[in-house]
Amino acid sequence: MSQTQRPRTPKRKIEAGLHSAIIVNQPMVRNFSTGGGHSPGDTLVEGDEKIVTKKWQGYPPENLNVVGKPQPPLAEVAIPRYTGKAEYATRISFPNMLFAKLLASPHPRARVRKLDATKAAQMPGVAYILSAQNAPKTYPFPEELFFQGSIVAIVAAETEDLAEDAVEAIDVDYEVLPFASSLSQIMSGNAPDLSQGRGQRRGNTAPSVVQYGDVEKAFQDADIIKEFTYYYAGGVVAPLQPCGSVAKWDGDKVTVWGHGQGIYPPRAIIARGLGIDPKNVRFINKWNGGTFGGVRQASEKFYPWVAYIAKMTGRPVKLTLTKDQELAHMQVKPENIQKFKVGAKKDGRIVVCQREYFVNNGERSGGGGGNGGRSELYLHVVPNWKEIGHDYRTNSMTIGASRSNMQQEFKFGWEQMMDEMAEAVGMDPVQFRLLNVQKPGTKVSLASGGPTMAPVPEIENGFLTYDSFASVEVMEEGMKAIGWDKRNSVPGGNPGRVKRGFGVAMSQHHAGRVGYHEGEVGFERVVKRGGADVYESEIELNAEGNIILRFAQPDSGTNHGTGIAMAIAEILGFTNLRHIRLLWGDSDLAPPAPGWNSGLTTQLQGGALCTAADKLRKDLLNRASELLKVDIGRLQIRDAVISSKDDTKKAVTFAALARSNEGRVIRQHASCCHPGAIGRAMNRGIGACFVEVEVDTWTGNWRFIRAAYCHDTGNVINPLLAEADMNGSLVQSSQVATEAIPWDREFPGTRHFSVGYLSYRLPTIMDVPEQTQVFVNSLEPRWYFGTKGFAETAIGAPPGAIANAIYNACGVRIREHPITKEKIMAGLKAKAGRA
Amino acid sequence: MKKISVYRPTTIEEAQQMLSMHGTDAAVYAGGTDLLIRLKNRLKQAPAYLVDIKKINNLRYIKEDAQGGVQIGALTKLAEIAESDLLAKKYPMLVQAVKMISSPELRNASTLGGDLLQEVWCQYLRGGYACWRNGGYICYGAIGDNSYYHSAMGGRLCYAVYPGDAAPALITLDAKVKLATPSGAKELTIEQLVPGDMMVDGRIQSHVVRFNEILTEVVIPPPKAGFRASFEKLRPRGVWDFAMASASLGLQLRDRTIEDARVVFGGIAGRPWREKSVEDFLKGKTLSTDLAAQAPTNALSNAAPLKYNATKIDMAKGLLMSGLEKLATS
Repeated sequence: MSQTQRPRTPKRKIEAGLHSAIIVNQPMVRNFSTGGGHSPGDTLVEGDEKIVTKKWQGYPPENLNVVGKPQPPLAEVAIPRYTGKAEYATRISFPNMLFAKLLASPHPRARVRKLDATKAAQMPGVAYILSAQNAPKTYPFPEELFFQGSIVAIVAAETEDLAEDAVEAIDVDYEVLPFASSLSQIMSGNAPDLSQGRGQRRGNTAPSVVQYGDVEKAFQDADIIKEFTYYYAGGVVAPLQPCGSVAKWDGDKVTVWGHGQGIYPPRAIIARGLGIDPKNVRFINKWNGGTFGGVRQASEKFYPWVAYIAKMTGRPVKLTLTKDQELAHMQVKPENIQKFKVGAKKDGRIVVCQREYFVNNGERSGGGGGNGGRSELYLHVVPNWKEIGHDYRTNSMTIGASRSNMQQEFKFGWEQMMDEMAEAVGMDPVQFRLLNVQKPGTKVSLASGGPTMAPVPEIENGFLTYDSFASVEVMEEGMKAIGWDKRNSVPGGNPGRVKRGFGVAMSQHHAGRVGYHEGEVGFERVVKRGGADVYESEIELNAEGNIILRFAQPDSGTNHGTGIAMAIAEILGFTNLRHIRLLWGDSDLAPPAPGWNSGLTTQLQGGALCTAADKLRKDLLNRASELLKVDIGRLQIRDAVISSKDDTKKAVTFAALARSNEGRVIRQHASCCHPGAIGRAMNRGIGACFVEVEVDTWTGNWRFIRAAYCHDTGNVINPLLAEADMNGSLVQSSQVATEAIPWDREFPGTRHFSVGYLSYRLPTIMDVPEQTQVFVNSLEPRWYFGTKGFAETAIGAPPGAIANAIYNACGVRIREHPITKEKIMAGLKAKAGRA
Repeated sequence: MKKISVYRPTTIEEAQQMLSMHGTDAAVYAGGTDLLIRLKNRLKQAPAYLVDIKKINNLRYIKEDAQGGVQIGALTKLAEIAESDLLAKKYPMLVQAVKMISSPELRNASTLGGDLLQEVWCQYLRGGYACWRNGGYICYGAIGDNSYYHSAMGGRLCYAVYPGDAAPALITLDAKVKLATPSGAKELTIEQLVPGDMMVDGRIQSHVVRFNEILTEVVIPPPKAGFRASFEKLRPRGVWDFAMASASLGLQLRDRTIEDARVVFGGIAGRPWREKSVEDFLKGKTLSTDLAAQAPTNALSNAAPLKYNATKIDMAKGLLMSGLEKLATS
């Protein structure tokens, strides 16, 4: 046999550095009306309530030692992932542990008439069978099985195989009910009424109408009116770690190891589900193999049952969902149809837009989830707007956040509409967007933002003003990075078999994510108003001079702990992270906080820690000043030593200060809160994605060649991790473009996840394009070091950008998601037929 | 996973005895990359007795025979074929085709014999639906969602496509296989080995290997001077996936004149689809890019697409054109 000897790759040290990210710094002095960047004075005064903010919270983005420098992730979070030591819930094991498996409904809609588990209960190794008959009253099983995969029973046995054998032996008599899983079914004339009496039409909730301006008149005045329809087929995220949990009782206290995005919210669910005091629940979740918003639910909804079985059997219990069960219980991106009627002037200005949407809201009753906050209206200027929304309850999975919420789902259509309008008015798509984009300094009325805009204190006469908002820069820098001038002027105009094309799309999601911290007027007002989520945190200086950060949030590969540690190090005068330690992901160790999502983690959980660090800094300076008999103004801090600027021999270490304190530690506690749906003031982040694709017109094969992914970031704390995170974001968002939930088109209500990732195809490394990340530092003036959240600002853009690029390459417009080679081939054939 | 017993014979004869003892309840276990998934998915048709042939000596080799052909043992890993210098020199197209099978991880585990005899990948079969191949009397693919895994060239009972890539490539090379049977060795061409859905020993399968037979070797005849071949495959992603369509071409050239041709499509029918009309069209013609452009008009005229898979035919024609053009311009 021929064996080729592969040459050994010589060992080399890998340095932390940027691979292909470009950071575009905006000038410190800018002339926006509310003063983004450095403008005269070091305070901002905003809104009717004259909210006063100290710029940069007193920590300007200047002379930084740590923030803004590429740093590898903190070893204590990252290394255990690679050495097998990370405590994923699925890795937790006890010698006498039972394994739980689910019996899931095979029907899109059914009721259990009779369930007989007698035979299953007598099978070898079976310890407990939980079903509607014996589930705790505080946390019952669903009465109606509302989608394929709904839970019918849970079996706990000595091994996974024995549990699966017993699941197969449970005898269930289902009463199969009329169902409608898809939009085409629920919108048909004979759909069953799933609205629980709340709908005005059968199977439907009442349509919602949102409008402003004079839509009819605007259409009369428009020079060009076009209508477009787009379809998005639904999608879901895919975690590497299987969803599941472990529960173990010690006396009347239960410990649950979970898989999600918070510590205290699941702890409350478990306590409520079991009817016990939350104090008796310890929830641990330090590491996750991905959560993406959608995963949480697939683990969380089972915690109380797993804990209950553990209690009833007196043994630890572990539940691990199979891939198809996991895909049934995660939150999905909803199927939807958008119908647009758009009017524009000859010069390209959009004057009116009407959107009618139809959203498959899944098993959730009621509507309203479908509009996605109308973030498109924060992106583009639409002077007259009418929206007619139809939200349908269906026999489909729960919808919700699944790596962003209603972004790719809607922008796949919206951003193609922008391209088709640009073509209709004869403009370059970038110039058309720049003409119609919201710009910094623009006053945006609450009315035009729709009802999801929370009344933040910065509102002035019903208006908010954009300031830290790099809408023009993300486009201009993206054009440069991709080489937009090489774009075909005529779609499909390049000669030859393999055609290249360029496309662009924009996105705007999650406010720049800046909140209020304790001590700010806004904080008191928002908390007093009620319903605010308060993130608490604690920082501790110990006798060894180490800084210990305590916070709740689990790490899903997000490495937010590193970003937070960098900001803390900067505040406390360190030049590196060697003295920072993290304690996280355990309700016994971390102070209360809501879960993390929507780009809140580094900003709000981190903001709480920054605020605590600010307090600690002041506390330490006071102590040093007293001890050294030096005026605070004449003290300096560097790497855990406080010394006199005038006489560096007059110095004291952090450790010494801690040792001299009672208890040999110095602690500070602080909180942050978020004002509501849109974040604080009008600093909404914005993003754009420029892509280059190649289409083989002989086979329909297409390749994603290159992308310039542009983000309005504020000051980037850790460019290295930001780059990695955004690379992942682009991969995820391309998957959303090219794959749909594999619903069977001939057997409605059923899905094919049985062949795992051969039926739900995630992009592989061979499908990932060459990427350039463009970070536009828009210098958010309201937050520490000019930072703001940008986790998902650009994520809505790639699907529309890819569709637009394919059109530019070969002239085939894919209005029906997903983008597949079959559709391109069929489109090319149809085009050739017409020609 | 259902309960299974695993036998570890050390000779072909022992293995045959074990297979004979359990009939269709038993199956040969080699790389396991297909078999173990069927077991894990709890398919009714999956066997309960696995006869692990990996302990049998002399089934894993790539060697040149006296005539200059190559013999490949059935247990040879796909990765070993992909990395073989001998094969790269003699049959570069085979190496190219094998490199496009699934992923590097799976090529490290799967064997050539297993690739040739693999079960189909229909989402209904794999989802446990009681179809022809899984204890039932219906083909869900024929009436269901059939864009990817199902035949566009008609069918008999099971409409799933034959998913392998090695078989079409080997047909182009006129390769044969050897089977060990209770009555001695048997030789078949690859076309005879995988004729599409067949009832064998009471089961529907893509190949004609009986329950007590073992595929032992693939023999490729020596390459002739002037033989040129290409392999083109289209799949949803850059790695992992089965062919939406593939085209294996082999041309026997004298200068630029095509003396003989082999045209085999994969991923579009229940078997590797040899397209004789294109072969006949090519014979005697001069190889050129113009010829490449004309070839598809003669291809797959008897296509019988199902509801969702007509583009497979267009893709297959595109791949044919692409392969011919590559041969014409290289």
